[in-house]
Formats: sequence, C-alpha cells, structure tokens
Amino acid sequence: MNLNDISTQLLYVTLPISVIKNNGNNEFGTGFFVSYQAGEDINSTIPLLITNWHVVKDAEKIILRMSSANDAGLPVSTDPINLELNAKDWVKYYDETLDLAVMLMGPVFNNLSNLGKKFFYRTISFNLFPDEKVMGDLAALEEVVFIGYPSGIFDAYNLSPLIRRGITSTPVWRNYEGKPRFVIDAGVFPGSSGSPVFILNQGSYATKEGINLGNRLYFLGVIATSFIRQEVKQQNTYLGLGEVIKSNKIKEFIDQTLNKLNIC
Amino acid sequence: MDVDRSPSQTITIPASDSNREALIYQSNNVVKRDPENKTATEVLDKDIKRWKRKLEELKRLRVPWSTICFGIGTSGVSFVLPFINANTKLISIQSGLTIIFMVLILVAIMLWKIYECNIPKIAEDILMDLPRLDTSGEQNESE
Repeated sequence: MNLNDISTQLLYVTLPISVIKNNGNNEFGTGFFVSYQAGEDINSTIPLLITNWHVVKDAEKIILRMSSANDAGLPVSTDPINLELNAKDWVKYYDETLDLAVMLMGPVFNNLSNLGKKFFYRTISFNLFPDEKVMGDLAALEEVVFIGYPSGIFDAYNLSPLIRRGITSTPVWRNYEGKPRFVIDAGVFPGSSGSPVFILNQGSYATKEGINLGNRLYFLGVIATSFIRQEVKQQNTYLGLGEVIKSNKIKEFIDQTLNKLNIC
Repeated sequence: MDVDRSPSQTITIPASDSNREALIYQSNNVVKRDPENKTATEVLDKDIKRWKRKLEELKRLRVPWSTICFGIGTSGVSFVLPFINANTKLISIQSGLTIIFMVLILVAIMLWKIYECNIPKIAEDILMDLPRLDTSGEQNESE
C-alpha cells in the first residue's frame, strides 16, 4: 500500500456509521474526519466526525468501525475496532436546516489510546476547504470523487469504503435552488449520505491558466440527498443525481460548534 | 471461502467532558497533498531556459585555431615528405613513422580537448535534464 498516494489516504478519511434508531430500525450512513488545529502546535488537533443530521437523528446507539494500526503505525484493516456510542451523549451538535451533525472525537481517541488501542485514520484539514476565489475559478463541469458506503456496501473484510466518480451537474459556485448546495451526476444511494465529495486530480488538470502539472485536492462538500423518481406506486427509481452541501457551509457549522465550546 | 466478518473488538465509549483538553488529540493525521503545483507553461519555460543554457555551453566548445594550424601543418609535412625522398625505402619508412607519430599527437590533442571541455559531463547533464514530472508527495510512509 502506498500511503503517499492521495486517494489511498482518502480511504481512511471515512467511517461506516451504523445507527440503531429509537424505533429499533437499523440504518447506515457515512461519516468523515475533519481536524481543527487547536493552537500553534500542529499535533494539537480537535478531530471531528461529520455526517448528515438525518443519519444520526433519533438515534439510540451509534456504531463506528475504525481501522486498527500495527506497531509501525500502519493500518491493519482486517482487524477493525468497533466503537459503540450512546447517541444522546455524542450527538449534541447539529444543524437541522443544513442537515449536518458533528461528533467530537477527541475523547473517543483519547479513550482508545488509554486502553492501548492503536488505530489509523486520516483527516481533512481546513486547508483542503477551497476558499471563495478557488470555488469561483472552478469550471461549471468538474469531475468529482466521493467516498462512502452506498446502500451499506463496502469491502467489510478490508474495511474499505467505495470510491466513486461523478461530475458536477450544477456549478459549485452556484447555490442550487437558492440553497448552499450543488448537484452532482453520480450514483448516489442511501448510505452515501455523509460521503465527502472531492475534486481529486493526479498528474495534471485544467484551470483557467491552462494545463497544470501536479496533484489537486479540494474538499467540496458532503452528500446530503439523492434524487428519486416515483414511477409506479411504491416503486422508487434513483436518478443518479445527488445534492451536496457546500464545504464553506460545513466550515461555518464547525466554527459555530467550536465557538459554542469556546474553542475558536 | 467464507470470510469471518464478525466484530473482533467492540469498545463502548462512555460520555466525556467537552472541555478543551479532553477534545484535543495529540496527533496530526491530515491528508497530505503536494505542496506546490505548476502550470505546464511554467515547467516548459524552465526547461527551455535550461536547454538554452546547455546550447550556449556547446557553442563555446571550439577547437582553437592553433590546434587546427598545427594539425594541417604536420599532415602537410607528412604528406610531402615521401615525395621528396621517394628514392630510398629508408626515407619512405621514416615518412611513415612521421605520419603515425603526427596522428598520435593529433589524437592526444583531441582527447585533451575533450577532457578539457568536459563533453561527457555536458552530455550527461543534457540527458539528466530531459523534462520529467515528479509527482511524489511529501510523506515517505510505506507498508
């Protein structure tokens, strides 16, 4: 495994979230890690797990599966760590309008470390969030990559999510239907909710300056909903379109949450 | 073959404080990307400049006139000698030896000039400077 490769690192940004709802139903979603640097020390981070509010709404228990790590600090995906969290203790910060929820993972990781558990994960830092200028310079048609567990499908043996591709159906710099969202043309299914969406180019990519050489990675947002057409009664057809909550709104939401905790 | 996918280790995490210290985890596990990307024009401009510099170095690789005059002179003398002394075999051998001697001197001068101008080094530089893309990341982790 080449952990220098960006896409390989992205495999460890997401987690499968299994939710046991208050009514006893078991639902599935995707969560991803974002880190906030607390102070000048780059190792002092506040890890956050972001997902959609509708994934964890009315949840009683949340079960997360993390990759364990060996003594060298490298992932051992075939021996996952299963974490059981009481939803009312861990899902305290959410925005119903934006459809976002955040879980503060610092105590979880510190708990695991105290238990002597080694685990492997990667986080999205704020410098992967494109600013307004970068967003504005993006083309209307961009190829996007998203990572998650559509319909709960993933490589359970290796604890590996599925990486999927798509294109932007509406420009990233426009608010679809006046909401802070854009639409992608991709296979978005239930379970994809909470999947992070990226622009990932390796080798070369085009910008308004011309062809650029190197790699490009931007975090564009999180998948929130998929488009369904009801053809016959009780029969839904997925249109292969999904709405993505923009990353700038996610950043605002994180800032607001950390403000409530008097952290930033 | 069936794969056992049952959870091997399940840990229940209790509720925790939300103070700053409890929320911080001492580790930097951010996704790393390349620090700097360049446009194709920037890369090509840099390569063109490098090639121009190498061409200038090659242009300066000239054999001096003194060497050329010396070479022509000795070759001329070697050519003329056998005609002047064509009557005897001894002189003919003498002129033959002169030619071999002169050729050896010329080869030695040429080798010296090649060494002095460092042509192999320049050729190596040119080969090494062929445009190439380095897309490796910052990290050096591997499994």
